[in-house]
Amino acid sequence: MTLAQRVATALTFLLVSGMAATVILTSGRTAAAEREVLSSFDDLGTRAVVVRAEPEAGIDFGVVERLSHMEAVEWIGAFGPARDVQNAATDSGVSVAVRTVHATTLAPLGMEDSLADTCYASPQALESLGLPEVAGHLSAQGDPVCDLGGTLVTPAALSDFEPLVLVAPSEQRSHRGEQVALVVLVVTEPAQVGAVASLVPQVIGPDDPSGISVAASLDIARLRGLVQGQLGGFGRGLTLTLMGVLTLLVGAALFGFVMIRRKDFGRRRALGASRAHVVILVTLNTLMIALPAGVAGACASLLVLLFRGEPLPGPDFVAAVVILATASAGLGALPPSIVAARRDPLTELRVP
Amino acid sequence: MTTFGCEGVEFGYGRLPSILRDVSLTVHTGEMVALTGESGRGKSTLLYLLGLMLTPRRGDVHLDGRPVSALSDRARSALRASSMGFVFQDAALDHTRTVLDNIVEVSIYGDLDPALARERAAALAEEFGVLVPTDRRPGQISGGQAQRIALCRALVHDPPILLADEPTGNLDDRSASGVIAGLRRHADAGRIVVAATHDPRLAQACSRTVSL
Repeated sequence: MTLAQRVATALTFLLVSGMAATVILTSGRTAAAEREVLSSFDDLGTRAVVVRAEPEAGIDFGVVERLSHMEAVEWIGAFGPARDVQNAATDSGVSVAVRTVHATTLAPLGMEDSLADTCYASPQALESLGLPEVAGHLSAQGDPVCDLGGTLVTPAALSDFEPLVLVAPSEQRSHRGEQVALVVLVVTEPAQVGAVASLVPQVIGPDDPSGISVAASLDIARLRGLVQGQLGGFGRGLTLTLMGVLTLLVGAALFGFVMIRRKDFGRRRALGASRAHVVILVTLNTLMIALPAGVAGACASLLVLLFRGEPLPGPDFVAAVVILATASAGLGALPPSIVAARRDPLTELRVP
Repeated sequence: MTTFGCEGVEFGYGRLPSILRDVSLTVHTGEMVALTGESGRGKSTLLYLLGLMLTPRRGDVHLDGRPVSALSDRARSALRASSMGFVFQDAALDHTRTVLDNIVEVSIYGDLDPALARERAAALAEEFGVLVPTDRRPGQISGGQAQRIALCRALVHDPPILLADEPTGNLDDRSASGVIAGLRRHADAGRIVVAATHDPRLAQACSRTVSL
């Protein structure tokens, strides 16, 4: 390899790796921040639809099975009306609300499906009941209600009902007729919250439609979409701009290189290389340098982010940056390669 | 192949006036033809036209009576790789590759089997007295040695047509004789050789001289 080739190789490598690192340290950090913000939005229950039902609506636990046929619904929980319970050991008079629950799965609540007639109390409820450990019995005005079996994981949609105790009925079918006061649906995508919320009343089929009210965190879902759109758009714009700059820089570097190697290209053409041969030669050469350079730049920037304790962009983002950097370099190589292919061999090979 | 040449060819660079006008030439197998004339008369230009690297403004290059100037770049490149050998004025070797790789370079662009090419390259290097080991890069070598390597490269695929642009320029008598002998042997083997030259030694060795 001549000095000119070494310089061109090193320059292309530096340009591509530098640009890949720059994109990850700028747009990548934006993408990582976007992921964290959106994740916290999801934690706030942006995907929940809450249905409150009055007794006249006549909704029972069979509603869970009916709603389970809806698409785009990840989880359904139906809750009975609240009853006050106290710590059976102290009868202190401090009450918390206990509700029966029937759900597509109890696991998200931290409850075991097999432990029926066992109460699960949230940490806040345990504190209110004066139960430092998950052990004891709960009663309502002296009548036993349930034994404490575990700690409840209160979903975001029920945070307003704290302190909360839930109990799964022992015989699901026999309790189907029991009245439901609250239904919570968790939708798979925030964008589908509105559509699900509008369909729920029809699926529930209440005896008295005025007896139910449907609430969805549409505003948060909208805000989520707005954040996603704005942050995402900014990141994309910046990435494309940087890649455009990379294309120009690689093209400029290779123009110089092609000029230095023009006699080489002239010789190749005279020996039988077609123009396409020369274009492929220069472009492939560039791609073979650009790909490892992109990987190197990406790795270096991820190490910097790790060292600084900053959130990392996802693997799909990193892979996309490497591919885009490689493709941009290849694109930048095209014009100089076409110039090299169209050079007049006689001009290059002739000795004055 | 029995004939090769051009008919009524006119050529000029860009918008400049034509430097070749109505040039016709037919070379038969076994002939070695010298293109002579003063500098600037278009000897090298005609050679590169015959080598299908330039497209004439008028007229055509023909191979066995078949016009070939108007073929696509891909087709012309394929013809050059398979049917023509080129010896350049200053050898034009690739100093980043070994002598052997320089000689077999044409097999990259044509359909010559690489293994056969390496075999022939080794034999040609010995025949023409290439002193540089074939597994080494040319490095700093004499013009004579470089031109011998270039001649091997031009002959490795045994082309029916060999075009040489001032192949003995700047060579001493001994080196020039070696090159001229190689060209002559190729023509005598039933091939066509066309050489643009100022060198009277080469012109004398040719069957015919065409003055531009």
